[in-house]
Amino acid sequence: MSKSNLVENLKQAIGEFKAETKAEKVGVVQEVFDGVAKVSGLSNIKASEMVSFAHGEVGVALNLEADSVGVIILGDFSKIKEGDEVRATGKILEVPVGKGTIGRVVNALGQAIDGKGAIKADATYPVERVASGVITRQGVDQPVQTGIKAIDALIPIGRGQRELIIGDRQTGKTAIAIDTILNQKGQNLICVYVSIGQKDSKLRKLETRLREGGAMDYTVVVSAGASESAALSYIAPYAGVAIAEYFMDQGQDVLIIYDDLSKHAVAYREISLLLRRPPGREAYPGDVFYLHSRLLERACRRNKEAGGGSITALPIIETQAGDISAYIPTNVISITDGQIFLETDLFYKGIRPAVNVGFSVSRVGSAAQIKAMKKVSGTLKLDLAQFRELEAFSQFGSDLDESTKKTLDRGRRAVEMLKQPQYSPVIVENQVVALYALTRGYMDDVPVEKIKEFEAGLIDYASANAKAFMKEVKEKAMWSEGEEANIKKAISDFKAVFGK
Amino acid sequence: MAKFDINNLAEALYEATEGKSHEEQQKLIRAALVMLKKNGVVSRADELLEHFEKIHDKNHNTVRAEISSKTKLTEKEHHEIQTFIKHKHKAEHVIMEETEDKELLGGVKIKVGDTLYDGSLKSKLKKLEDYLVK
Repeated sequence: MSKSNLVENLKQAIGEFKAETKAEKVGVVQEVFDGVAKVSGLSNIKASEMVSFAHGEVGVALNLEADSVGVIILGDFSKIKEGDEVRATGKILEVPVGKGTIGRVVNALGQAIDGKGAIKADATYPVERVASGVITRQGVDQPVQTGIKAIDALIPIGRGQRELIIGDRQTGKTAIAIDTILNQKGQNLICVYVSIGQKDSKLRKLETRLREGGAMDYTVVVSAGASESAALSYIAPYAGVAIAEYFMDQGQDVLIIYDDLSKHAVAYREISLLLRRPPGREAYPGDVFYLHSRLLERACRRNKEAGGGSITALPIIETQAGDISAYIPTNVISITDGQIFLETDLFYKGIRPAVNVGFSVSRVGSAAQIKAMKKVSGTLKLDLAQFRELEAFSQFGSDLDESTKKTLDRGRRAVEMLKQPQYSPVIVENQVVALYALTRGYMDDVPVEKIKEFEAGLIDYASANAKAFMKEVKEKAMWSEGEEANIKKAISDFKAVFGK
Repeated sequence: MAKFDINNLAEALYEATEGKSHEEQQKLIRAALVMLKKNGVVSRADELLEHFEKIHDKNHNTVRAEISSKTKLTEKEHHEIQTFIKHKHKAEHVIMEETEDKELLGGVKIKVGDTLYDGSLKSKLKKLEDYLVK
């Protein structure tokens, strides 16, 4: 562009610009501390309206009192001082959304923090929005394939479901979430990962891992780090779900992970106490249930008339010493449609993912399992339950009757097979083949320590020799009788080869 | 006993003094000050005055405006602004407090209560900056 051209363009732009003087509502900062400010004036302000401070900082009005307003400051509050002017913007807090967010890392306000330039937004969405109503919803009937055998077989998750991942620190909660994202390649599911109050080093590691796995092609990361103010941690999940809602409005399926909501509740507790709201149980404010219920209620599956699309939510809760009856865990358990319970004991026993199958449930998921998976996993849950009951007794004596022995053997093999290393999701056809062999008793005479080896070998063998079976499971979600005979033959053939 | 509230005292004082003779008003004011002392809040006498002013303004349909401009307003400008405020805020009387602020570069900034009409050149330039950056 030439110099004169540039000047001409600038002149035109200035010519088009109109500066209108409008009546604005202003207030004065009365006190400011720890990321909250008390502002006088600002009459007629709306709840959760954005305000702007003198140096361009943004705040949100949370407490509307008779002659003052309690504002949380989003960002740096060190420059704000008493007596500063505050202007109401007339807008509810919004974030930029759109296809441009995919593959990016953004903060709670939707601004890029990955150093790759500003986000190209298709629209802006309000952070707080009422969830889809009853009329627009539809039952959950499509699966989210997590690629984790223990989950897909026993605690299946459907598109539009809210499944809680709960457990102590270091039990692999985030690992399940990440594996699930990694397994969505080509599954037509956009993922939003919301990191709340996490270490920046952890986020960096995670982002690198997702990029290496090619998962950033369909993933958005929203981050409010541990070093940022509580106000941003509080906003982050709502911003994340606003980004997800944009994709749902385009008729797409979205998976959103909130990692984790315990820290979100803690951030909200901090804000509430600073705003002098009365504390309740565990010093959380009275509306901490609503805090999470209005967030998770925005996960839904919409029917065709309403444009389709879904948001599946995987909130994560960190418990202290396995206590799932604390305030926040019980709240979120009751809001969600089931939970995946992870245990430290299992983790150190080497059973990873450390899913406690007895305590974990999925209240709507089985409707979303493919038929083939339902067929093979039906007896698995029973096998495992019986195994756990007998396991405790069997440690006392060795003279067990035949049927008890059989149950124990099957159980041990099932537990062994559900073990799975991190970052290695298994596609659903392979899961079906392995579980078919297990539940139909083909693995009963394979030594427990060789189960993993057998499984890997069998999957390879079946992929080569029972292609039609795999194809049927993948495309029609169920096998035909003819193909069942084929897979039976393939397994028997493989067994004959295995161990020789 | 109900909590002592300066706002209530101001209201009571206003109602009691309205339309009374000068001596009576003096008496009532003294009584109000005694009440402040009794409650140990003499230091908040300023607040009492502030509330009293507010109540008075409201009852007499008066608004107070702060006007800042780069240079002193002319008689005509003063009058125009006064009419503008009277019209916008449906007030009968306007008490104007004028200040000069070199930083505004030009234009005027009018503040009535918590409503601001920012017609200064400074804010217009700022808006232009935001517009061009976008």
